[in-house]
Amino acid sequence: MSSATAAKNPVIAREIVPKSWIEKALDQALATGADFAEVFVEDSSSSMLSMIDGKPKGATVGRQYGAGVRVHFGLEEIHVTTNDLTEAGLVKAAKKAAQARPEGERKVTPVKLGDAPAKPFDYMAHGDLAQVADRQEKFQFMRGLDTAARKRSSLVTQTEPLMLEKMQEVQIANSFGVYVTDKRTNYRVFLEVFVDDQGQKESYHKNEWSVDNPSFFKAMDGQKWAEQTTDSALTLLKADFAPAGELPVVIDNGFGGVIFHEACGHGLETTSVAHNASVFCGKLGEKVADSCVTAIDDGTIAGGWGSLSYDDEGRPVQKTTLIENGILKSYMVDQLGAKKTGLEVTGSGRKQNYKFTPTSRMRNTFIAPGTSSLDEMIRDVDYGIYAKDMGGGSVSPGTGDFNFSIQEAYLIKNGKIATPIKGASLIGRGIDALGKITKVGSELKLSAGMCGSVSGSIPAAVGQPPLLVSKILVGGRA
Amino acid sequence: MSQQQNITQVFSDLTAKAKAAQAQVEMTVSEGDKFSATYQDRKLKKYSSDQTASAVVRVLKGSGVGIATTENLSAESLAECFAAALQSAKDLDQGGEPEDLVAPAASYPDVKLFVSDYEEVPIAERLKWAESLEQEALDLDQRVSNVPYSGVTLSSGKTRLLNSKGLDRSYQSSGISGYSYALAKEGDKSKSGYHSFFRREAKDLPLKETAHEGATRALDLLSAVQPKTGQVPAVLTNDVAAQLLSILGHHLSAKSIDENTSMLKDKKGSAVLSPVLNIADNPLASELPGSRPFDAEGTPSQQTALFKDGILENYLTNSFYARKLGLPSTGNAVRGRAGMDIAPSNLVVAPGTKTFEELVNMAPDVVVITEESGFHSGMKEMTGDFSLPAYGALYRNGKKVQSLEQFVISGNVFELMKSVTAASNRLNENGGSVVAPDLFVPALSIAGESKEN
Repeated sequence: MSSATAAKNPVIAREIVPKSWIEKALDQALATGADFAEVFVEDSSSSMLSMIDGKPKGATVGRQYGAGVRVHFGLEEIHVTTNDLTEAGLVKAAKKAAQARPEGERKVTPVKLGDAPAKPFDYMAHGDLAQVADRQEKFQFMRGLDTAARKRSSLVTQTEPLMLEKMQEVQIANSFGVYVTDKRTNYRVFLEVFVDDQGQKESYHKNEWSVDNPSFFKAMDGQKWAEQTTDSALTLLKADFAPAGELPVVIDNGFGGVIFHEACGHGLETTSVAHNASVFCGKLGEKVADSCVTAIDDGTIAGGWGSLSYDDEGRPVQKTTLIENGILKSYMVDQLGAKKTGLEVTGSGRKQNYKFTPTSRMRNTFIAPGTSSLDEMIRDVDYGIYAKDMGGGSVSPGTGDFNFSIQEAYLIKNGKIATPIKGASLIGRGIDALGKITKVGSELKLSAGMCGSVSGSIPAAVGQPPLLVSKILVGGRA
Repeated sequence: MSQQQNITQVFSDLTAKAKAAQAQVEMTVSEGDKFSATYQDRKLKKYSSDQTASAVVRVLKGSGVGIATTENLSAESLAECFAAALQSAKDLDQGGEPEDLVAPAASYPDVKLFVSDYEEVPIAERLKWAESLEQEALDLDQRVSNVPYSGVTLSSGKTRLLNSKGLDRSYQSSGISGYSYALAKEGDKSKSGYHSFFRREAKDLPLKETAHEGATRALDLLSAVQPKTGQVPAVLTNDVAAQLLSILGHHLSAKSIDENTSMLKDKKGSAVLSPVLNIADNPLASELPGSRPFDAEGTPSQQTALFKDGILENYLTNSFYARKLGLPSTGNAVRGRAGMDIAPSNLVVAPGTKTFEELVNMAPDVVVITEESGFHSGMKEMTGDFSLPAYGALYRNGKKVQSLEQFVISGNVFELMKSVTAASNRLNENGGSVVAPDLFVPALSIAGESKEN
């Protein structure tokens, strides 16, 4: 996890296009009777450096440049995108959106847009996109990772270090008079280490990140990190396949939070709740988990991977308590979701870029700390699994069926961590799995991930303290 | 000046700049239109209209390759792209194997990828297609409670590739895709089912069939039970077989061979898969989504035999790795996020001779796997090890007797595909670029209900 440094100086991001052009586009978009219009303008740049065989291999830079005009006729949503960011291009896209319902007459006059405010909070700092500025230093860092991994073991056959940087500048305005500009950045370094022992091959990957410091890698102990990644790959060489069947599982903190993200998080978004496509529909105020479980989705954590100043509908983000002591307290609500359900928005409207329309999405989602210790949980298990590090997962919100994979795990025998195991997905069903969380640890940790859904791939943090799940289906080998 | 003339002029300027810098340059320009619509609760939920434009500028200098992309096609933005790509190429030019562009070929295959720009299809007609993908599912059975996700997408576009060796080729493509994801409910049970399609032509679209297939899959699962843990004879339906086989793309790549991340290294000429499996790369089949007349570097497309009777015959190459490893050029260059990569166009497994009914009769009890999920996390592409949540049905003496859910299939793709003993004559039609028949395997590991229960 990255260092999380709070911003010292709130900033006003730049205007990509003149505000007056956006006002004209909003006016045109409302001409045929739409009751809401929004213009989302984006100019983003990204950079990627890669290395193979310890040598620089790839250097790519990219620019996304376009706008989306969104209008609502009641609950109908029309979205038109363009790469033409001239005044004429924006107005043309707005007219095209309005022409979806050509027969109507104007109902709404857009509010005159004010000045974009300075970021109202100081929890999100932003570095600039360094791109090529310190490229040689980055290659040197990546070369160090390769050297450290190969030095750690002669079984290392390849390493793939990768560095990604992204800066997204946006301008968001709507017919309610919302007008904000924002700049979001994130920086990641990945390492995958490949090992081969007499034809048996394994690989392991890790990543580190920051949302505000392009030079964060300089503060990393690269050698130690590469050695740890190598050790994890070597552990897999010695690992047996996981057993098959229902077992108790202790899930460690950090990326272990993917269990809540998949088991419940997606089912608490109005994206599915508004269409009766979630097992959590109609359960507000009901007990959905053991009383030891409190779950929060918080977009305001300083330096958080999923933190934002404004969501992609131009609203300030907030901290939303989803489940408190086992009782369902809130869903995550975007603007259209609010209209459909009558609930208040929670600043959760998010999307990958201007090509998508926002839907309710998670930000930094985690289970709040409890009182148990990791040792205590492991002692409680006669035969089960300790999942130290997790891979990704997925869910079908309509059925609650979810899955996630273990990356590094060990058998627990008679209350003690025993031999390493590999290769298993854990599966369950949302509410049912929540009820089986019987102990919650005290050490909360958040980890970075990319979350994919109908509005694209977005940075979202998952997290939890260690958890004991009394029984879950482990998809090992029979 | 038209956009096409403008691009020609800009590229001529970039070529001059590249020459001055003793470098080579290539530019790919893609422009297109996309229309999507989706219905919910029998009402229009959303429709989108997207106009897209992008350019990729690739600069080669010595062993260095720099790439820059943009969605702003102004001369100024393209010049910035060139400058950034040239800088990257210089940074990466560290005396390794020299890179080179592909020269124009004498001829290119004629692949019919463009039917219409769809402007002629009235909006009302397109909305009707989207409506039916929801409606047909809802009307099939009253237990279909809703269709949370469904929709139709029409897209058309033009790709133009220019390079400083004089190549200037373009092709148009168009396609219509649709999908339907239905929920069926009975009591407190809620089950889902999904299906999709892809077509070039806007006639005889399988709207009803797609909606019914998704809904039927959901309805089938309402009576599903959890199977017992164990090893069972199994049929992987064509959708599932295609998904599992999709990982071959990485391992067949000459780049993966060179970088030592492929399980197929040093396996050419070896019986890697079952003799039942014959697999080719086919970029020339106009009905498949991955087809094109030339690859991302401009090498003319061709069919390539990959496995013949299970024996590995060829790796997939782009121009650089064909040269470096002394392999035949197969025209499989694709633009990856880290530069010019290699991938199959359409991976096509030849059909077998048995019917599906014959496959499910190959053992007294056969578990048919109809769906897997969680592929991105449960499949370890680098090794082929998998552990995937699945749905399916138990067949006894060739007859379906019980739907199955809440279980996990696991194994290794290479080992599993070596154990295949029969393939059906039925290929998947889900609109994907991997095409496969149903496959029978004598033993598949299933994690479900504990044995002692």
